[in-house]
Amino acid sequence: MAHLARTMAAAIACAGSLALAASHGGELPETGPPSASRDLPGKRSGESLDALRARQATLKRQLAQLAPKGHYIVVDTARNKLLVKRRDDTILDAVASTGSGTILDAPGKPGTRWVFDTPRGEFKVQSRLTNPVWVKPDWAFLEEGLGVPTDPAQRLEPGTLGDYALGFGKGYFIHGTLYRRLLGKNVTHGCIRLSDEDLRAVYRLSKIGTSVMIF
Amino acid sequence: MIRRTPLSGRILPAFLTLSLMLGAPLQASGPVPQPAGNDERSLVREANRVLEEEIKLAAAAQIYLLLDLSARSLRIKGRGIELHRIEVVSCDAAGNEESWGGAYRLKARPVVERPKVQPVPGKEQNQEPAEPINLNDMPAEYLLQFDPGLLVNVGPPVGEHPWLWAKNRLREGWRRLSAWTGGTSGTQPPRRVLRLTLSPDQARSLAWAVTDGMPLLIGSATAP
Repeated sequence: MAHLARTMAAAIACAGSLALAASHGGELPETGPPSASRDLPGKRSGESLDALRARQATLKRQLAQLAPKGHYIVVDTARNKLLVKRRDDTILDAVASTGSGTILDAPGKPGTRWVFDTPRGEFKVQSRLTNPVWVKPDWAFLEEGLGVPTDPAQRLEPGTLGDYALGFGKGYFIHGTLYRRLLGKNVTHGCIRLSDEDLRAVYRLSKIGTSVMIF
Repeated sequence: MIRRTPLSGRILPAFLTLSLMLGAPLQASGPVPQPAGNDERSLVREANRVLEEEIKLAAAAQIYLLLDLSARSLRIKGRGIELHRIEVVSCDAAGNEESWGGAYRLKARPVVERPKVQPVPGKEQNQEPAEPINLNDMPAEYLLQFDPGLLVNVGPPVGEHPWLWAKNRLREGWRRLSAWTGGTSGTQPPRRVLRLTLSPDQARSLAWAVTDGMPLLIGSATAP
């Protein structure tokens, strides 16, 4: 029983929330207001070139302060690449697998569908797990032509996700894979897969709160 | 009373579209307006304006686009960091707007057909899907509609891909005609039309990168 409890604690529902009728991924809400101002150059038309240059230096500093402190992760879903960067330096350049972009309609449930996209936007690492156990979501059973089990224990699948998993929200994870030959291709259900070595490096370089920028 | 036959119903829009396609470039097409005066002060002032706008965008958790007219590049950015760069062959404006200042939000983009997964008994989760989407499935010419009132027409260089170019202009003409005649319900004619010439590869890359609501900032970001 204690073993099961430990297992459940480490278990994750990889991309389990894909069913939220996401028409195109599951982007985080964009909290910033769209900049709608249309003010044109000229409001400080009397400024000297020196003053304008000084203001530019200040603005550049302000912009630089918005960049992530420490390491951050960049995922290019078109080219299936994952980079770990610090300022402008690339610390790790890894081949990944990201979402396939395919659709699964739930059999017998009109209107219920899963869109297997990797979400785009800026996210944060929310969990760092070792020896994760995959909690198979409904779509994993339906895709195999099986019924969805009622016993939660039947959803647990250890060993599939590699040694580590980094959750970045809404059930999406960066994790390992048993199928290295598929790295570099858009084959996943939304999660980001890495080789064992690259996953270990990403785990080591990240912490809770590390930025994950996905485009 | 005028009787409209099916044939005349097709010929008239086709004629108008062709006229728009051919006429619009001659009418009001040209380089995107740059800041008044090319003196150093104007250029720095314009770069500062872009920086001010970018700071607002970079303050939020989002990916945004920066079209740098002076560097002829379209940058995919987040938190002020350049994530990817798309090279722009040329950029022309069609319309009478004098300014492109401010940020826009993507309202409509090309629809990409997504393959459907067919449940297969005994299928392993990590098997390769039959037809995953990839970059080559993205279009090389298309329209992007932004709020407020901006239509971005992405197409290839006419000399290299004349057929794609013509198709692209026809699409733009049709869209503008539909908006003017009220054919597209609720759509106002765009006040600004930006023609972005990209290589097919770069155009596909942009089509992949854009997401609904994505902000676009236009300006000359590079000061001397």
